[in-house]
Amino acid sequence: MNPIKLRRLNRLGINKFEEYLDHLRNPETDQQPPPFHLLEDIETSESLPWDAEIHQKSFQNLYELGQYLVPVIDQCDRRKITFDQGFWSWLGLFFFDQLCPIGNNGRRKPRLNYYYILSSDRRHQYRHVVRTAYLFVREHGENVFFMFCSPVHIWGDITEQLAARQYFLGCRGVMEAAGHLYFDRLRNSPRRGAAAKDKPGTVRRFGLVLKQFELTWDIFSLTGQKVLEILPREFDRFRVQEEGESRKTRSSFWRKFSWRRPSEAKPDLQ
Amino acid sequence: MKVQRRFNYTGRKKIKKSDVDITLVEQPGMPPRFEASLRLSGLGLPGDAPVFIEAYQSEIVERFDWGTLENRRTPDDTTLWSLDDTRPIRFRVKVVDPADDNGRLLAAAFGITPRGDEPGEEGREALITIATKNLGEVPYRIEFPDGRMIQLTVNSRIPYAKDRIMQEPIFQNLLFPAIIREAFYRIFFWAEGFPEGKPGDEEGDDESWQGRWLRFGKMLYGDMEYDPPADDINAIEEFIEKVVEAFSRNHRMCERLMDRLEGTR
Repeated sequence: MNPIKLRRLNRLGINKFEEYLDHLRNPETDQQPPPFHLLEDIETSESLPWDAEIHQKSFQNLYELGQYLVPVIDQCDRRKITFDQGFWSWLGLFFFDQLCPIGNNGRRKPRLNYYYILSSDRRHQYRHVVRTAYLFVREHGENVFFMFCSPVHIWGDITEQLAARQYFLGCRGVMEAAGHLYFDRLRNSPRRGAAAKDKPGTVRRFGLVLKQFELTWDIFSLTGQKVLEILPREFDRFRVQEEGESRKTRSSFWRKFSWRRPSEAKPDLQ
Repeated sequence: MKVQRRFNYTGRKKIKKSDVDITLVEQPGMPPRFEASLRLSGLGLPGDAPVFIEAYQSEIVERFDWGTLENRRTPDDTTLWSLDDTRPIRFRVKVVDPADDNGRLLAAAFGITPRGDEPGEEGREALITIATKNLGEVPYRIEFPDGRMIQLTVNSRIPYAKDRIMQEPIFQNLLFPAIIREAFYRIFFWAEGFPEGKPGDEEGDDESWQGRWLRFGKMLYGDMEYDPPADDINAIEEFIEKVVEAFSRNHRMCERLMDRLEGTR
């Protein structure tokens, strides 16, 4: 497919995209293919003043999508596009085949609209898949691979927990530490149990503990190393001792052949 | 008895809220910007300590580099692009340890309300107060305890009832339309009506709770001059429903309720 110039959906285009999503959710009707014609129809979309072009490519995961988008979107004026509903909704439609693929039953099952159409409610904007992948990959590069290593149509709990704290986008050290804790380099995927609920040291706890730290630390200024230093002991199970060491190897080995000196015990800050 | 203790292991100093003045400035066709005046000279901290001001709403933060204690510098642009200007915006001021990678807070002020946004200040009229009381099996009641203000009394048996009303979209979106209806039915159909004639009448009491609610209703209705005829029940009911509709639409109450329900499923 030839590249096309980036555009933005206008109000009519967004409405029609919304109608299409509603239509997909109706179990009584036959599903139609995505309304890709809205992307270039001058009735439903508008041109942009930049020359950025985009290809329809297939991505293994959201990280690849974010990586691809960084040089493309960076040709635009970032201030003008960051909160432009029409711009991000255009991209949501452009990649819709991958964001909401046809399932085994031959039907698409879309999530809530704001995963594809940028919400006007600031609190939900982090759920726009394309935008969040672009913003995080642009700011944090490989450190956020663990957040976006799932297939493009999957929005995992790790992504939800970290992206929901939208200010983490500006906290380089925090994201570096999160990558260190929750990414298993050997398996090239998030560590097992990182997204568990009600367990110590998980991604959920990471967000909550950092919230407590905000009274003592300026978390925007912290380095990744410093974040790892000040995290309480509950995170030990995810701390990586050596590069490339999988948690399974580490935990089974150390459980048998290690002990904690009392003097090394870290104060529990909870 | 549970005793809550607070620790300040790092010796962080407190910046008094009275030493911070922040004002939101409207900008046509754009989100507001803010102006800040900080009085931080008496803190006794290193002059090269960086100063930051953060505007925030829950998990969304916009951070502004304000130079150092010794050499304060106002950013060129303080427009709050990421925040929702229809919801309250709070600020915090931070003075950070200048040592590399330390990130320790040397001094801070949290939860600063911009000027003009404080409850009860000029430009804002409180329409309701919230209280808690044991109401048995009744979840809430709308009361008029002193004739000066509507009070939403929430059953104190509901844990964190007041906080939930203030923060939880499910509570708010289910309750608020009912509160609005009850307030206006009280105004139009109860014998007490207005304390001394209607607002706008020569003897009218515009500062009564009824006066404040009616101004609020007319604003939502879209016509500050309109008074539904006192003898036309249909017109009054239509007015009330239009006010409820406009309020719900402005706050996208159903959409927010659905989002919240979706999030808790």
